[in-house]
Amino acid sequence: MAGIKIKNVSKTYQNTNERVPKRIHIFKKKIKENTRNVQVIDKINLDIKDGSFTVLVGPSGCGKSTMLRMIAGLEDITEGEVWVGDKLVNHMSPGDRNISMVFQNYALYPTMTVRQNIEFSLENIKVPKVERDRMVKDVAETVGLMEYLDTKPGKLSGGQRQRVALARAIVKRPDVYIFDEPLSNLDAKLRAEMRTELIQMHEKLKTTFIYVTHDQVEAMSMADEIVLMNRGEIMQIGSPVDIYNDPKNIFVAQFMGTPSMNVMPIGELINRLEPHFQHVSYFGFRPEKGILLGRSILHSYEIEIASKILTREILGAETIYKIENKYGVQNIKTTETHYSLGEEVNLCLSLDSLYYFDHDEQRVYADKTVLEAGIS
Amino acid sequence: MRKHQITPYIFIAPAILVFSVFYIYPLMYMGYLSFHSWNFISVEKPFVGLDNYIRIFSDPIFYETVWNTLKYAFFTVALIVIIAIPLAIWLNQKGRIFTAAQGAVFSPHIISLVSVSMIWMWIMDVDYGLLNWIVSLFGVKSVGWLTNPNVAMYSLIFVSVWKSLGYYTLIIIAALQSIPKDLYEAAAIDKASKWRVFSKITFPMLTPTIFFISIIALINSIQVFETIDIMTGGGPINSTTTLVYYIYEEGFNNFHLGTASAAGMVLLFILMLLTILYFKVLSNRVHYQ
Ligand SMILES: Nc1ncnc2c1ncn2[C@@H]1O[C@H](COP(=O)(O)OP(=O)(O)OP(=O)(O)O)[C@@H](O)[C@H]1O
Ligand SMILES: [Mg+2]
Repeated sequence: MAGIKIKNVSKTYQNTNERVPKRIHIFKKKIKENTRNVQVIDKINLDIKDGSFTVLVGPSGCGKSTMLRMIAGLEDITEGEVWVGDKLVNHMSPGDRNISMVFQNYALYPTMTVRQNIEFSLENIKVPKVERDRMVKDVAETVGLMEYLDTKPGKLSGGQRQRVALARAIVKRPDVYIFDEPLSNLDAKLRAEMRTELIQMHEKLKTTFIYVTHDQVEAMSMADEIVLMNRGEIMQIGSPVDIYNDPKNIFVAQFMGTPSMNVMPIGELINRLEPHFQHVSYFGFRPEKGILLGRSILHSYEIEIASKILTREILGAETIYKIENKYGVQNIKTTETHYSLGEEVNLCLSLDSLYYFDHDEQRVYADKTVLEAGIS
Repeated sequence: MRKHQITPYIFIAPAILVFSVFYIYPLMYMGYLSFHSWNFISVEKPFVGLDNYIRIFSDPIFYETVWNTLKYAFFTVALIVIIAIPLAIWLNQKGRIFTAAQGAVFSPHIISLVSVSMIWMWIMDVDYGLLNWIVSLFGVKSVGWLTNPNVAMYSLIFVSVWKSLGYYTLIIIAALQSIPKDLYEAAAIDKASKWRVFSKITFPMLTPTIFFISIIALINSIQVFETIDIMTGGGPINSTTTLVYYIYEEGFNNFHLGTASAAGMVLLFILMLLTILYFKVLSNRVHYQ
């Protein structure tokens, strides 16, 4: 078992496009552009605790896979250091890092049976046959693959292949498990099942899990710690509850939660903040914190904004309304289903459900401003 | 309903027509001729029963011919498969040298077989050939590459391998490139040695392609003709006479169309047998996903 320390790590891909003939002058500038290196990870520092379930999450192309692949040794580290436990692994080959990786499309060896897939790594390090058989049997039982040991992966369903990939990872007893979007090829129901199984697996193994996904539900439900990335940088690190309730900037606030947080220019609401919060440029609130009430009903919320219903999506347990008011368009999530399109309502908010952000989209803690209620 | 049953046949009719005229009809006609006696000119083609077959099967040269053909095919296919795989793996690397080398290896394929034969005939000439000059540098006496009955067949095999190797190598390179990269990454994480990666991943993934090229190479080499016609004329002492060359000699030099057709039927039979055998034996060992 081991934690992972990532110190000042950067990754630059050399994007050389050498086929363009260099002697043609007109193209010279173009060539410069084409040969420019792309930096996809920018000086990242990260401390992954031993035995934690850390989820890297972020939009597509933000460098999650690159990060993982550098830890696994499949990609060179351009700059910085990666430590697994007390070993500096920068120049260690993937096989020596004692890491297991589960790939998005499983990367099962198609010509081998399930058993051969699982024991391949054991054979490589020359584990004796008797011991190998026992280990294979153990993991096959754990993941429920006993009947399929002599089947080839091509004949298995997506979920079963996923299990083979897991078995292959577990049997090595690695210090660290690495998962690159392992559930994204499964259907919704199976994905939910596997999610639970992975959480249980982590509890049983108590080994470090690093898990990449761009699915925020996966991140929220599985992680001890979420690392939210954007464009090769870490936006915020924290527990799921922290990330959800205490986002440090607009990106984090809007990445987590469906629908995402409503963020609008502060407008005349600025007048209701204390004078030393004049640098606040945006305010936001979660869709489920907004309350819709009929115009005629008497109420006493701190903020009430005259709004109009634009659309209604009934999702079953809850309904999502799109409403419009002088601050713009917002989503509201509620259990009420009876508002109809075009209906005039009041959007009611309590002050402590509001988030404030400055001009640079960074969070401003202005929550405890004492303001009197009033209709705006 | 009826209309629906006819429509598909109308769609495939042109293909069937072409196929019948150019494949089925000549084949049937060859079968027909093999039971008749004909010399190209006479109006009459008298029915002779199995005479033609009896004639070729009692001809010792015919057996030699079949043996030569099998020998030629076996060595050609074996050499191609054995050389093409490591060559493809070596050439399948990034870099200009390898791109250039791929082109070089492939280039014999686009040269006409007639030119290739002429060039090699010159290189392999006993008295003023390049090959014997090189060999002489090592103090070896002149070899009758094409004139020694014990060597000529192997010289022809060599030329045919040289000519077609690049083509088959290119097919294997394409197959190598279609093996998913993440299998190799998984293997790296699983700490597999280079040899284990080759024997447990690369080679098994290549088996369908190897199967394919070996059957194509087999069929091609059993039908070998041009190199033999140009380089050795079936000699010396029939040591390089293969089936197709035998058929050609019988039909167009000796004007025995009947026996030529009978030999043609035998060739067809051998090809069918080998193909069936091949699929039966090898398809069990070949991995298809
Ligand atoms: N071999 C490469 N050469 C050049 N650029 C690359 C290479 N591999 C990845 N990139 C770039 O690096 C960036 C990060 O890629 P990465 O695969 O890490 O994203 P990701 O966060 O895993 O995205 P996704 O969620 O879509 O898997 C992308 O902009 C991608 O275009
Ligand atoms: Mg990725």
